[in-house]
Amino acid sequence: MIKIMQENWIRWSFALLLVFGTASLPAMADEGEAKAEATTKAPADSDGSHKEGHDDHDGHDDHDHDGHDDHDHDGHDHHDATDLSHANASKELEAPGSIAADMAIYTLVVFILMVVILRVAAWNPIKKALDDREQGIIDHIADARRSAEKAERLLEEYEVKIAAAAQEANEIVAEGRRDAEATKDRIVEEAREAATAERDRALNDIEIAKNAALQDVAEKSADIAVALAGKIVNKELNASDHQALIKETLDNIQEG
Amino acid sequence: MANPVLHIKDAYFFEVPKFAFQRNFTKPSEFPSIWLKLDPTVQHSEAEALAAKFPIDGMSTEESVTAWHDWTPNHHHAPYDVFYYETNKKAVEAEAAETGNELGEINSIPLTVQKNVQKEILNDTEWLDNEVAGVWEEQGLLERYNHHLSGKIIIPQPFGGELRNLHEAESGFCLSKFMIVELFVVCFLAFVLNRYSRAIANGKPAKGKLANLLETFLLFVRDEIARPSIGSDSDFHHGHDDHDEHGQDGHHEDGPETYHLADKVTPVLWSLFFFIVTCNLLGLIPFVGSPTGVFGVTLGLAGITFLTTLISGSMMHGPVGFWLNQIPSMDLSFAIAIVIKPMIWVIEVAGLMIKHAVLAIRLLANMVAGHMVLLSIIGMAMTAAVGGGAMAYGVTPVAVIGATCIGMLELFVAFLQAYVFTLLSALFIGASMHHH
Repeated sequence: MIKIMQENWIRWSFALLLVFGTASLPAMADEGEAKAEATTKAPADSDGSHKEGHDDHDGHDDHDHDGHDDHDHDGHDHHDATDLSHANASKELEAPGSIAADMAIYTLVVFILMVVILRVAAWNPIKKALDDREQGIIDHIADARRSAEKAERLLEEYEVKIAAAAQEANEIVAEGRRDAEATKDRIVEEAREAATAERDRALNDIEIAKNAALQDVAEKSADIAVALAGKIVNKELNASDHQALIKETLDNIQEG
Repeated sequence: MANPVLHIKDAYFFEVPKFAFQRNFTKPSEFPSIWLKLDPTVQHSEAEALAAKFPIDGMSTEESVTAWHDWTPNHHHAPYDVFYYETNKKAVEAEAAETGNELGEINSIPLTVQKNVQKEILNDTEWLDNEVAGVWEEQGLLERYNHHLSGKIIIPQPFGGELRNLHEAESGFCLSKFMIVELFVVCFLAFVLNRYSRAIANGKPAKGKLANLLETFLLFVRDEIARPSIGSDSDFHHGHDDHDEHGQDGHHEDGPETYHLADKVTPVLWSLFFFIVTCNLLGLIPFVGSPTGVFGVTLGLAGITFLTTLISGSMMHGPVGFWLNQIPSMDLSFAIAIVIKPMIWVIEVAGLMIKHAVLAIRLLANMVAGHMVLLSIIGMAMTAAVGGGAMAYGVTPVAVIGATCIGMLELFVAFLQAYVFTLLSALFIGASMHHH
């Protein structure tokens, strides 16, 4: 409950005011009536005719007659002759549009004074500050525009650069791939060549060895044959015969 | 209640709740002299003294005093000098009516004589505190006078002005309640706006509720009232007079619109707007009242607009050119023009005056009307309360709620009328600067 009241204190205080106001108004009126009675009892005016005064008043205060001319609210009772605050009233008193020339001149002077004071104290500084701010905003916008343009330019530049770099990278990769391919081919080729050479050499070696072996065999065979032949024919063969015989034998072997 | 208009009109005292400013005078000589001057006993003594020197024609001193005595209760308890003047006036008028001549000179009691008599009477403290006090005692007046003076802070009159009563001035320059309120408004505005101007110096943005509020109004008046009504510098580019120095700095061939001329008038419009809106809003504060509910003030403000119109128009077209500029350009042959144009000129110049007078009346009527409605609604509750009984309990809440609603409307009207006054001023000033 208290929490609700705290949250809505404006509404609550308004409601309270309304209630108290409603309750106290009639009470105030009673008090006022009591006071007024006291006043009317007293011989308030020397000639006693104040009650029906203001006849020459062209109807301005007619409404004052309806019921409350014998009480006293805020002390403004028109018919209370003891309130001298507006005694000796002129005809202009109750006209809301009466022209007060002194007030008009005073206002004119005070206003001109105010314009002069405010021109120095407020308007000129405010004008300058607003202009400064306006200029500042314009400058800031221009700055921002320049910055944006610069950024865009840079972006474009960098985009171009990045594209170039990407291309370069691609090229490098491609080249690397090409190099690798070439290297691979070369290595394979070299290996193949090496292998071939090795085989050829091996074959060569084999041939040589075979030939040597054959030579050896031939020689041994010739010797054996010579010796055999010598034994058979028992005769000495001269060198040429010897040579011819080897050859013949070799051929035989080869043929055989 | 006295005529409620008295609550709206200017006065020569500040009203506060009675309990806040209790008066406890114990003897007549302590009372303010303006109050004593209006007391019947003092007036009687004054009448006797004046009648001795200025009796009514054909009457003795005693007869004159008796005649005044019979007359005054029906004439707002006016003192003898008013009676003397009125009686003479009546006689002169009767004579004029009889003979058919112009009104002759009306005899009146010289102010200095009256003042001297009053001074003599009021300085006689012994007489006041014995004889007058005796009459007051007999009639219970001391208590009543204290009651009526409670809650009324009477403004001292340092400039030698003489009051007629607490609501009217008699002679000389009298300092009134709204004059002081106006001074307060000027000081208040100078303080608040100066603070704001320092807060936004060098183009800093406005910070805080008040600064932003002020800025909203300042920019509104400048951008929505002054500049559109008076126009940009390029509007003045064509056909302004050669001797106009102000038009020169504003001519840019291209680029954004400049408003150097409009901005020259803006401070006056700013001042008008803030002064009027502050005065209007003061009317919503109990016991203060709005100076703009007084014809003198609105007339003074309209005078400011008229002066600004006159000066800015004369600066644009020259002192003679301004007046000639009132004639709209018409395609007339010379013979017709020489007849028509002077007539048009008279109408236009009268229109110029009327426009500015209406400016004053509009603001006054709006402020007075709102306060009158409030007064009558509250008065309803008062009447019901005086009537007593159960009715008051029904009427009072309705009256309070009604007064609250009208108060809200008044709040709106306070701003609206300040805006309307400023806008129309700007339009009048703008019209005077342009060629017709």
